[in-house]
Amino acid sequence: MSTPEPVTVTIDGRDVQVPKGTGLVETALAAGIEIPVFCYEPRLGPAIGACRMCLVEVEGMPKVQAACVLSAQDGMVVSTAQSSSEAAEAQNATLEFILVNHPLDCPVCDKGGECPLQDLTFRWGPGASRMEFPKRTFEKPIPISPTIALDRERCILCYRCTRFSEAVAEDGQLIAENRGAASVIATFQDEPYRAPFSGNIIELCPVGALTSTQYRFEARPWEIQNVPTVCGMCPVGCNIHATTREGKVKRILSRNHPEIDQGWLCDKGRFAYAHVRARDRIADPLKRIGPRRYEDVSWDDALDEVERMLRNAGGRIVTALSGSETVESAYALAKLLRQGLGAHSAVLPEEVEPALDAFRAPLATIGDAEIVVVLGDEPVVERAPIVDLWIRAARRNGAQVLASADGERVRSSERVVLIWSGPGGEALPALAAGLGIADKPGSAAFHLPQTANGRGVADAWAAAGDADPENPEPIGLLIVSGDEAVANPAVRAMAEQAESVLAISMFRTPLIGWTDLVLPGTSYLERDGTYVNLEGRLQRLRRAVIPPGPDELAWLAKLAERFDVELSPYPSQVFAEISAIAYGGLDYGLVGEHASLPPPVEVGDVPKPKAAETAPGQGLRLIPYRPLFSGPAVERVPQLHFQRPGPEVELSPDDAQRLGVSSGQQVHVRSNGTSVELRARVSRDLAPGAVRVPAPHAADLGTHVEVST
Amino acid sequence: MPELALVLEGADDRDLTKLGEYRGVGGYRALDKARGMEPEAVVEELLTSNLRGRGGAFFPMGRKASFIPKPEDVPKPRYVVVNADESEPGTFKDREIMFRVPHRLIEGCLITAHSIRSQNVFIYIRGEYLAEFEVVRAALDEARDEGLFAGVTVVLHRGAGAYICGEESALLESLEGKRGQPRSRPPYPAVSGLYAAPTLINNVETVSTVPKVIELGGAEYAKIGAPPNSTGTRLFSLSGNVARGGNYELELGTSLNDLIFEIGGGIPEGRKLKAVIPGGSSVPVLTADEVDTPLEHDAMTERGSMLGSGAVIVIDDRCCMVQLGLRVAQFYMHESCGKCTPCREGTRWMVQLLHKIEDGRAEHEELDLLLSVCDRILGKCLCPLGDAAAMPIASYVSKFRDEFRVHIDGGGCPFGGEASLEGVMAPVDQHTHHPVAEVPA
Amino acid sequence: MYPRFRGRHRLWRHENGLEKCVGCSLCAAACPADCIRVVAEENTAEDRVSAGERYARIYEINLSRCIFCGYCELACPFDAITLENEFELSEYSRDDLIYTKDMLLAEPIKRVPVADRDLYDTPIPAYKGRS
Repeated sequence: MSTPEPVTVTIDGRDVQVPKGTGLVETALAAGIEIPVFCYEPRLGPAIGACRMCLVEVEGMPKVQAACVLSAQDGMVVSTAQSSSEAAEAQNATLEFILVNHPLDCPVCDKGGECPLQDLTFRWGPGASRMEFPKRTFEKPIPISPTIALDRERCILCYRCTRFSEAVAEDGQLIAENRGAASVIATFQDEPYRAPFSGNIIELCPVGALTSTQYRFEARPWEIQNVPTVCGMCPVGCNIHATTREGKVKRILSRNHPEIDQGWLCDKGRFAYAHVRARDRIADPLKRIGPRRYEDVSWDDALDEVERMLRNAGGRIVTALSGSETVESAYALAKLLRQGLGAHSAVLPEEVEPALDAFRAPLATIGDAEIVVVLGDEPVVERAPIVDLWIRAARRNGAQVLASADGERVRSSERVVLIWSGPGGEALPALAAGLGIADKPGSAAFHLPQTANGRGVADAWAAAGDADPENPEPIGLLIVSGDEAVANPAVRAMAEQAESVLAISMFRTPLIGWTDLVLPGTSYLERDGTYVNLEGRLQRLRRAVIPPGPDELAWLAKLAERFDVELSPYPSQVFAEISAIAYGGLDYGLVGEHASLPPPVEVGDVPKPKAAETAPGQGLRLIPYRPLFSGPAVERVPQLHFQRPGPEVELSPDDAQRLGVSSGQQVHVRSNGTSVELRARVSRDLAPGAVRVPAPHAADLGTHVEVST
Repeated sequence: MPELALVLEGADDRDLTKLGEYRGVGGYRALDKARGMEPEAVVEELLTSNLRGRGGAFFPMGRKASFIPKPEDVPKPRYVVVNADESEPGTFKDREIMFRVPHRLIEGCLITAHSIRSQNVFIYIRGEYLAEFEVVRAALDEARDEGLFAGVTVVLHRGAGAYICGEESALLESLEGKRGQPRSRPPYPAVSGLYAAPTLINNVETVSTVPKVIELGGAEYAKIGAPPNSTGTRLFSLSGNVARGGNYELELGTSLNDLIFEIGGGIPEGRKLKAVIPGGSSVPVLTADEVDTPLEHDAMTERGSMLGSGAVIVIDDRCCMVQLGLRVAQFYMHESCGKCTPCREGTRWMVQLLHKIEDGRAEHEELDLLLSVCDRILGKCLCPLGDAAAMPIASYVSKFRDEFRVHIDGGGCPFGGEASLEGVMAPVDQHTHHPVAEVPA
Repeated sequence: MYPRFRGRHRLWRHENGLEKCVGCSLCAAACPADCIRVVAEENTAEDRVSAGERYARIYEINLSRCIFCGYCELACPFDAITLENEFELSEYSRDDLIYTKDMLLAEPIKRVPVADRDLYDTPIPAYKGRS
């Protein structure tokens, strides 16, 4: 898309040049002039001009105009409130009208201190109220979901929340009811707002009408610190601010990386921070003294025990990694094991295809694509939620979203984006190479991994050594790093066979009975380090709060001394080591607040995809998927439990019709002796021949199932 | 002889709801004539006639039609939308047109569709017009069966009780199935209207006049009435404290005085004229002294009011102007869509202020406050409803200031309960089901 | 003592026993010495502490840091905190100088004689008149 020609606009006597069609609010900003707005938010679609806050005088137009709906034309002469008394009067009037029915809640309102209504009233509004009548009142606050509270009295009806629900998240659950002064925001049919992106309306709301119940009354803006870091809940790596007060994380806000998350967060990343203070959080090392009994030991004793376990394993050491470790701590562990002990066997959380670096691009590329091909079995929103928002944005922009890369349309189009969501991603590089993705501008290929830093962990392990894994049998020592590995049934099965098990984990309860020594782990909110997201972008995590136990690098450095391995306890120095090998010598301090993505590499050898192993079986292929709202963190945050998927089975429209099943109906899902009753949901995203069930409800079912009413 | 039946021609002698009868007075011949002309030529006739919108905005229909882009320039379907959501208080002319001459309306729709190369006509009719809906539907069936549509689809769509859906962009939103709230303009419906396609939207009376314009020819039509700016005839809905209320089709330029006293039979029971609302509650009121004004655009503008929807409401000396102002303000508060801040909050505040004045609990500063609120709504809203609320109230206060002062000084309404809005406006009690009706004051 | 002397702080209650302080923390924001700590909590139906939606669960003033400027009194929108006339505040340990909410709500132990306000032309503040 070529840049439109520049036009000159005069605002308050200042001339400014902008591309033709730029919105007037942005044009004013380019001239250094602020036009106050409430309902204007470009991420929500075309401006609606509802709040009447941005009124300006435009030469040649009779009345004051809303600047947000106008765009720059050559020769336009605009006077904002700063130079036009009519515009100033109009903005003053708008604020007076908003305040006429706005309750005097500032001292008890969570938004106070960071409230645009407060700020704009100070700058453009009346100093005193002329309204002496009773204001309109509503019952308040109304919990529209366990995580969000609605206060209708404070609502200024800017419609940002309903436009988000309708036009960005496309869940259509938040609506406006009634009209005129009786207008209220409500959920459709008063059901709770149950959707993966509901929390964004809290940040969108310019007043304290939509507030987080978890953050309710926790802190005031002058009592907190915002730590810029990156979310570690999924491989997208949305940029966040962790708001802390007195050493505890109180909430998560978006830090808006325009290329990755555009300012949106999913509810898991936004609300699951409470796992950091879960009740069964481990603060001291635990040593097993009986089949199910553990005792706290000191760090010195614990490290002695670890040294003993490592030496006694005789080189038969296997490490199971979670993919949530930082690059630095994964490298430190890898260096200790590979260089200090010659233990090269690792169970990596997932396969990573470096060949995809030839097709890498920012996630924002999806939004401008012509064609988006979504492959793989698992729903995108469960793996990498923000990518789902990008796909919806692409569709609204006119892109075609397809389920197959075959066809002339895909081959001949310009901006093609491939997304592989699910296992089997090894086929993606070959597919991308075949379609010439690397040569088409605006095209990309994304593989959506399962873990937040799977790529970084794989890089770290590979950087620490070259030798092939030994895959010892039986395993002398199994090191289980991270809570995701602890929860992995495959790792658990290995642990049954291992002679001894060392776990590095945050939560006590899942470890009881099968681990011998436990060292306290840390959360992404408590670490300083780097993560590599699904784009291949290296991003910097910052420590928001101090963990109950020491950081991994601290005790790994101490342990490494015992094995004559040089390891620094400082992430910057550890990063320098691995950066020289894997990241082109990038300096730790230069990773940046809004990290950039290096350009794609040359297309190298593309691995030939293995022939897809379709396990043979009768009936419909079962796809169990790990839901977004699952995992050790979500389990420990009760307010998020309502978002967990119920016992349901997703069917394609063809299969549903063939079986005579409709959405909402209870059906029996059978396979080798097990039968489960699930609620059917017909979904157009699913191709015929397969059904999808959230993993927690698919427990004993086999690879193929029969569905009946 | 100001009464001149063009839109209602022939309806007094025959039942023009029947296709056969309508043909008997020359019906559908203009359609044949128009279909024999180039679409641009039809638009030319409309331009020459200076037929202006009869819904209230008085915008030249020909000019509006000329804004519709050519199919080569914008390859989208074009739509004709007829605004039959007659809700302006005092207006009941479209009702009579649809009830008595539906075929003239249909003929107008089809000619208009031809003029902009449209294959789709939507008639958005007020939901409360149950009988009129049936009549129009039957007439549509008749016309369709006779093969008069020639490939054009006409959809008759019901509204659901919202005055704001009479505003053209809110009507389009409602027709699309969304919340009936106006859109920001530009873009205007001619460029991006129904389903973002070029749309020509006009009032029932305007469209029903089109067959006559084509029959007589634009130039002939332009000689009638008060050229150059107010050509032709229009229906005036006369109501209020007047002997013979009803719809009268008059040449534009007829004196308001004549309408009230000659044609309308004056004020019954020997009462005196106090005020006149000349064009529906959305226009500034005229005092009894200002009644000697021709009902045409320029003269009305000079008087500081507007032709509006043609609803002439006669008010006699029984009526308390403060009560009337309150009732009118309550209407706008009830009907405000709530999208833009000044109208949503301002109309409610005006009601609260007027309540206080009517109850006699107000101070003089609050009268100025009321004017200030009106001034702060004017010109700042998303759609004309805000102005339609603020302008009349401001005119009541400025033209009947003494009456307001008496309320304040006297601590109550000087009519003391004997004031009557009877015949002028229906009471608010009819709307007690609505949560906004009760406003604490 | 002169009536406007700024001594020990006092948190006030309404006539019906509910605390005036809603835990809004504006006093903490205004304090130049940053010596006030407020942690708010929701009022429940069974246990209503203050007159608003929230109350101060923790309210502490570190009197060793306080400069007795009176900004907290000025900032409070509910006239919940004022500086009274008590001046004998010495303690033996610094920890004892951290006054908690209960201590601040309590009546002063020793009444300090205050001069007649009218003599000093001090208009009676609004909060003393209607409560």
